Order: sequence, then structure tokens, then C-alpha cells
Amino acid sequence: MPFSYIGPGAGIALVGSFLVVLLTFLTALLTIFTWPVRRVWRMLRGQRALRHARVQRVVVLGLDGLEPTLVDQYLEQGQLPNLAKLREQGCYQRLGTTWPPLSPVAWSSFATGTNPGKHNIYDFIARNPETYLPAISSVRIGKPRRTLRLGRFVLPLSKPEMTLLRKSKPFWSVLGDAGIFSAVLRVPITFPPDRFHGVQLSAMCVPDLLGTQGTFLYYSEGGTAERTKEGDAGGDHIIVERDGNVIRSFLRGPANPLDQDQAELRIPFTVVEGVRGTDAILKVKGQQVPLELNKYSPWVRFSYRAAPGVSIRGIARFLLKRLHGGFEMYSTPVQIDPDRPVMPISHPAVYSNYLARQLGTFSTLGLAEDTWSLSEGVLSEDAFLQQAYDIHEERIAMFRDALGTVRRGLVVCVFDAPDRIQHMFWKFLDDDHPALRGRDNTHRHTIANMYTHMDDLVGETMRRIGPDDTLLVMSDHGFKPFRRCVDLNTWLLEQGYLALHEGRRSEQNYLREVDWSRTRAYVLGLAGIYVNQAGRESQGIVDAGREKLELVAEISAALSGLVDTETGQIAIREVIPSSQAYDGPYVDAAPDMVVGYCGGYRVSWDSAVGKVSGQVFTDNVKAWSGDHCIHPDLVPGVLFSNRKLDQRPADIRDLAPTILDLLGVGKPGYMEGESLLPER
Amino acid sequence: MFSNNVKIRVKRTLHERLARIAEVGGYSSVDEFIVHVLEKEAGRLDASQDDAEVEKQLRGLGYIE
Repeated sequence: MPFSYIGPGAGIALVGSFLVVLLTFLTALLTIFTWPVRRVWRMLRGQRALRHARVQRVVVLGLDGLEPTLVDQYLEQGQLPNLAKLREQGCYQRLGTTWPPLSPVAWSSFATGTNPGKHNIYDFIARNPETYLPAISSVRIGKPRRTLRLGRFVLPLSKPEMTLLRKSKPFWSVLGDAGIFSAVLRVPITFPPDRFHGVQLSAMCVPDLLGTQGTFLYYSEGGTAERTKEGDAGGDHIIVERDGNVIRSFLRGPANPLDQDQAELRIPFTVVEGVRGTDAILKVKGQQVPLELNKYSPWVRFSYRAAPGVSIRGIARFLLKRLHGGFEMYSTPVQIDPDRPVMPISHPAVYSNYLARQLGTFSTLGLAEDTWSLSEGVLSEDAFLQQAYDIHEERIAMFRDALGTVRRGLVVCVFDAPDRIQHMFWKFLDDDHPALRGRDNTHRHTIANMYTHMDDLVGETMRRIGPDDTLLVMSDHGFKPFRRCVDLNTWLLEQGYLALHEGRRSEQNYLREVDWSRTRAYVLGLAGIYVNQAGRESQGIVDAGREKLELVAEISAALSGLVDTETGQIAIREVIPSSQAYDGPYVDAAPDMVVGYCGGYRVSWDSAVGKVSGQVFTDNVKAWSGDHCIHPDLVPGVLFSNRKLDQRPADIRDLAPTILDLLGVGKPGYMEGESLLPER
Repeated sequence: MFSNNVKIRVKRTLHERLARIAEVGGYSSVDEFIVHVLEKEAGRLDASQDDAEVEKQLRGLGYIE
């Protein structure tokens, strides 16, 4: 029975006591017996709910990161016939995005119709002012409050805390309050899932079974250990044992939540070489999975045994890279099994189970496309693309299912492939990109092809909707090259705003070598600068009043227009105080300044994790060669619709009120956006 | 025992005042406002976090190294 919870930080923690299981069983019985009454009540309520609606259904197709200038170019070249048709039928315009233009921030503004000051998501990363340590900004997972120790086992007697840190109220909850049903698929920052009248599948920041954002496993016989190593950003390297034509190794799993020592759970497996020299059989947990060189296996399901009668279910796909002359195999991060999820990844909880049974097993990881395996050279470009498109197809199947079953109300589905593919392949659009130096441009058309794929999806969606449905196709932000890194912590050090302990060079993450008694400002995350404020930061030295205001003004002015000393280009267009960027009850949690980089620049890899590299400007030579965490005016998203919308500049916050308006529901007072529908 | 939520009773008059403040403050509900105020206070006393947990939960996030 699946009743464990994992989480970033908490490891796996058992959620169910036997009493919980019993109560769940009784609740299920009650649910079954009262179903007919509830069905009739919902039908009547649903009819009343939509009496003011202008449409039968609103369908939102989210294409994360679709870049308007590329859309314009490909439209002009006739490569996007379906989007062109949509533009003629209704409209096409730019969609203003958030400060900073990052998916968790922008999609939270989409969901709530508010600026980050009201929904509390400012970055992927938030920092703890007590410890100066970062954390995932959107979810907090604690440990069970009460446990019972029985021998070497520790049994939890209560649920661990699991809280979505996105505040305010998403528009699908507002629709639900009005009796309107919604299907919300893979919209970022919906983990843990919202509870509302509808179904939802969680997305960004759902962890893997190790509790990370995605740790791939790379198996080899040794000799290639430099490719990735234990402790690297995205993967673990496991050295296998060979016995003739049999390879032996294991699947890493989570720490055993029931074991007092939290020992790592493992599943042994063997790979037996086939006779053809290009094939093998993976033997794991009584299953025999055929493997072919350079082809992904289907999803393989398995369970880690935590205690007698308690197992934790996981899924993974495998890619055999080499058999002879050194065995090599890649495994995707081990993910939550959607058919037997160990933690809630959907609302209602059985929805992921329904999708898995209906459509087959699917990737559940928040950031499902394994970008680190490509960055570290474990996956080739083509293997990464295959994975991204396989995930895309899984998502399309879910979207089709929702379009087929939700005939009235709302269907939203977000597709991540445009974002991930542009991050990893942008260098091939840019012959001068540092990451392309010394190598051939082997994927010049990959991004254009991806736009065509997305256009095909738009075409299919247009064919599947009815005349009384409104279709919105949108992206949360655009894209630009990421050629040069800006290490703002080094700049702060050079300018005397940040200090390191005597004699130290800061090569460690998370600001561990910063001397807080002499530091007035620091950087952690992708877009923010924090003041080391007395009374807020545990070792703060800057007074919260006038001293802070002056410091913020001074740093903002000095950084706005900062010139790259090597290229002579302007690297930072503008730095603004958070009081100017945000408005709302959670502004205190925001960075004190937000940085708007120019196209081609982004915060450095080191600075984002609180290192001080010693060089302000460096080339970005990583495979991750495109980005969007720059000035929001430079990376708006796109908005297409099959109906005419106001031609005033649209903002991502306008979509929630627009959708509510289409479905006949009034805009709540806290929402800032305005409906884009022309007056009736 | 079975839920992670508990209810707290406040006077209706106070609730009405809080509702007005919540609306002006940009909250989506009075519940959200109350939880925010309580979390801010509680946060001052509870900030435990360990380095290993931090490393683990951020691992694999493509945007950072």
C-alpha cells in the first residue's frame, strides 16, 4: 500500500498510521455510497454555475518559453500555419511577464492574477535569513510530528507537513467556488496540488524518489568517471561489476523512512549481454526488460522494500550507451510511480492513478527533461531530444484525455519542451556562442523544428475544440542567448559591499565563507540581491531604515548600465528595488533588489549558489546556452486566441480575470489583472 | 489527529475587522491573512535547516550548479 511521503529535505517519511488507513477506507466507502446524490447535485450546480458564461469551455495551451521574435520569424516563413490561422481568426500579441521572468514566478502570476508581492514566489530559490541557506521557494516539507520507535523501526503517527508556499488563490479555485469544473495539468507551482472542484496533476518542483529535483544515474565499468562523479549537480556515477557477459549493479533509492539509521534503499539488478552485440536484458525485481543500444527502455516499475509489508514504488527508463569496451548505461532519475504515488502529486489523489491506468506510466518529476545529463555529457543531444519529445507525447495524451472528458469549464495544460529545448540548444542558433566554439553546428534546425511541433499541437487542439470554446495559446516568457555570466557576488566583493573571512577564497556554495560582520549585500538565486539587514538576517548589519534605502539606491544605480569590461557591451539594463517591482503582503520575503540583465547575459552559475568566483564576467560554455532570466521587457511571452481580444498591451496577470470573465465569474478584489475581453 | 489543519476561534467582530484589513492588504481571504501573520511570528523562533538537506533538495535544478 502506498503510504509514504518523500520530500526535498525530509527524505521519505511514512504518512499513514494504521488509523489513517482505516479512516481512509471508511471515507472511501462513504464516498461510494453518496456518489449518486453528489452527482445529481453537481449537475444541477454546474448548469447554474455557467449561466453567465460567454463560452462552453476555455482551453489554455501553455507553451513554456515560446519566444515572440522566433514566432514572428517562423510565421513569416510560413512554418507555423496553425498559429497563423489562429492569429487571423482571433489575435496574436506579446504577453508581458514578471520580474524576474522565471517560470515559477510567471506561472504563479498566471494562476493568481497577481504580482509576486501577493503570491510570494520570486525565484526558484528562496533564502532563509536566519541561516543564509537557500531552499526551494514553492514547497516546504517537514517531518512527521509524532513517531513511535519499535526496535529498529520508526513508525510515524502523523502526516509530515507539506505546504505549497505559493500564496493567494488560483483562478481555478475561484471557478470551483462558483461550481465550474477545471482540469489543470502540469501548471508549474502546483505541488502539493491545490484542492478545488476539478482535477490537477502537479508539475515543477515535484521531487524524484531521492528527494532531489532530479538525480540521474550513470553506470559504467570505470575509466570514464570524469564525465560525472558523486556529488555533481545532477547525477550519480555508479561503477558496475562485470562477470563475463553479466553486469551487476543497483538502483539507488531513498533513505528508508522506517529505519532508525535511514539507510539507503537499493534494488539490485543485472544486465545480461545479448548475442547480437547490440542488445541486452535488464533483470530487475523479477522483470526482464529488453534493452537496445542507444534506445530508451519503456518505463520500468519497481518497489523498494522499506519494512515487511511496506514498499515505495518508483519508475525509471534506461538507455544502454555501450556494451563492449566498457559498459555504460544511463537511468533517468527514479521518479514517483503515478499509479502508486508515495506522495500526493495530483488532486484528487487517484487522478494520477487514473491517468497511469488510462494512458500508461508517465514521467512525474517536476523538471522532467534531464538537462544535467546533457550538460555533463552523459546523454547526447539526440538522446536528450528523444527524452524531451517522449515526455511531450505523454503530456499530449493527458491533454487529449482532458479535452475529451471536460466538455464544459476549463482545461489548462502546460508543455515544457519549448523551454527545455531552448535552454539546451540555443547555441545552435548563435554561431558566436561560447558554448559552440570548436565544434560543428550539428543542430541548427532543432529549435525551428520544435516550433513546428508546437504548431502541430496547436492545430490538433483547434480541431478538437468546438465553436463555443475559447482557445488561448500562451507562453510565460520568451528566450534569449546566455553567452556571458555575471558574478554579482564578486562585483559586490570588489566594490566593498561583501567580505570574505580573512585569507579565504570562496569556493564553497551557499555563502559559507562570507564574513557577515562586514557584509552589507549578497546574492543568492537567479535575479535578486539581498541587503544584510539587521533584525531580519541573523547577522545583519544594515539598519532597516534610511541606511538600507541609501544602500539599495547606491547599488541599484551602480549596477544599472554595468559594462562588460571584456566585450564593452552593457550587461545589466536595470536594477530596481523590490518596493518598485512588487506590491503586496509578501514583499518582505522578496530580494531587496531585482536585476534585469541585457540579452546575452545572466547571473553566473557560481553567484546563483552563493559562490564568489573572483571574476565578474566569464563566458558561459555550458550546454545550457539559452535563458530568460533577464530584464522582463526583453523576454515577453506570446498570446494567441481564437477570439478577438483587446489590443491594449496584455500582461500575464490579465489571463486569470479574462478566463473568469469568459466563464461568467466576477474578478475577486485581490486580482490585479484586467479582462482582455472587449466590452459586451 | 488525521489532518494537518486545526481551527482557531476568534470573535466575529475581530474576524470582520481582519477581513477588511485582509482585503486592503491584497490577501485573497481572511484565512490567508491570519496564517501569514502567525507564520511570520512563528518563523522568528523556528529556522532550523541543515546544509545536507539544502544540497539535496536543490540538486538537479537545471538553473543552478
